[in-house]
Amino acid sequence: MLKTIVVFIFTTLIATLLVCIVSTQIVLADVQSFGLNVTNDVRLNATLDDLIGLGPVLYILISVGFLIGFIVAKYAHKYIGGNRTLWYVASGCTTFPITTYIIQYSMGLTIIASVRTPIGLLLATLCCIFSAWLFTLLTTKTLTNNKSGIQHEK
Amino acid sequence: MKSSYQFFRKVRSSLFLIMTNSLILINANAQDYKVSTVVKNLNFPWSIAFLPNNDMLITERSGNLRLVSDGKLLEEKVTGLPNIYVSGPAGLFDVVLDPNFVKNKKLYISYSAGTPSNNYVEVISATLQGMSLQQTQVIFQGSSRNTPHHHGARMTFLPDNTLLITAGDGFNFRDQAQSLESLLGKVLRINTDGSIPKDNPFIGQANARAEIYTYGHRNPQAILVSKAKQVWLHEHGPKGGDELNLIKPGLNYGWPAITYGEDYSGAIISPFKEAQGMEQPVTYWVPSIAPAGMTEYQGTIFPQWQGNLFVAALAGKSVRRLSLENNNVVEQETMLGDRNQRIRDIRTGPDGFIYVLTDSIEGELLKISPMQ
Repeated sequence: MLKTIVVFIFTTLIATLLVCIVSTQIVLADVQSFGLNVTNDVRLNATLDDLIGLGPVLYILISVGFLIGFIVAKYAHKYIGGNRTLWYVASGCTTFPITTYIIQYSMGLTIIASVRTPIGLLLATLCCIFSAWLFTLLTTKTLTNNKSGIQHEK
Repeated sequence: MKSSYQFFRKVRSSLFLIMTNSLILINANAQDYKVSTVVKNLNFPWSIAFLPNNDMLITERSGNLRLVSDGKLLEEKVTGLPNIYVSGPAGLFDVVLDPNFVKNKKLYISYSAGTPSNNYVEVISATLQGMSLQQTQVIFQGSSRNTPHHHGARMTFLPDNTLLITAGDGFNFRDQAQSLESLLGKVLRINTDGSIPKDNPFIGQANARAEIYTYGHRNPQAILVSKAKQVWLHEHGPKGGDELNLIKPGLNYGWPAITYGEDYSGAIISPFKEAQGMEQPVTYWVPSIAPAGMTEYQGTIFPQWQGNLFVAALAGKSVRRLSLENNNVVEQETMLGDRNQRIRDIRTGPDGFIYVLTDSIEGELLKISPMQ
């Protein structure tokens, strides 16, 4: 259980890091489209600024989404069956868009600017899919003597 | 060499920050004015217009046009308003009288129209006949968006009797403030019949809307023409970075390419605070005060305030008096801060007193008069 929690925190941090970096690049691409020159120094500083500024908010949004999504995936795999990895990847695929939609519905706006476009939302979702897959990988128990060949969670 | 240049730029930016924000803050304890309540029970009042007989028209964002006559709020509401999309900050906005209102009884009203998934700023012209709007005609329709936020929708007349209308960026569409193909994030200029003035700065330009007067704005919440015939505008920044701008036709005011604020999420909006070809604000506020209405005092009741700009502040819960020299803000006083009320609009009445609207479901019309 403790290991699962540690892995959860780790993969959520990875998701936050990836989404944050992607988000900054999307915003900087917008800035460049206005005719401004973004040097490597500016890009690096902006990315670091976002990790500090946006990171905490993203972490909360992603961790809440992952927590709910992974619990659903766990019990869906337990009671419905099928491929465990696919269940978790599906949760990684859906939790961030759902979170974004809930915020848009309740507040009438999208607070994470980079996901206001389909491509931005897609890129952020891919980061979450990767992190969900990583969670599955790190929490899969390798079975050598299990005759049924069914993978179990640690 | 490069690091020295960057250091110099940081020092220059810091000095600019200090210069524009280290204004002399007057201790408002030694105040030479008093505040009294004229009327109460206004439902999120938004704008005041003074009629020639000193009555006042007041818009309520919830969708009503009210009349204050002889210091009393009439229960009866002005009829004839169009369908208004009311949601959150969206609703009924500004009312301005035609420069020839005495003869033609015409006025102009801005509001949000449409639906949650497709709403826009709309402006109508109408004639005021008693407590009724007649001959209503839509003269402007802004670009569509699917959020109830950032409509802008303040109006003022230029000396040539063309109408300036501010339009916000719709919050989710901030990049369109830089696009000349969109009416979001702009100041627009039209004739009172809805046609486009032939001398608009982008008229005839390919891929540019002819109505555009200036662009690169976020959510302009006040616009006025001063006695010196200059156009002043202020607008909400994001988290920090509210701006006071001097408006000139055809110019780019930078949003969201340059800004002194950051996103509410903590993310950057732009790494740049300045850029060539983009205008700098005359002053800006960090943290935000959420400026709302604005007036230039030209009355006789407060001679010491002649030419000062007064800015209503929502989040700032106050009025900011700005003293100007050569279009620079040299003094800033915080007024009405002790009332702890969000201030939505501020106007100079024809009687020389200053009138203020508070932003509340139980909004008030306040009057600022001399202490003695």
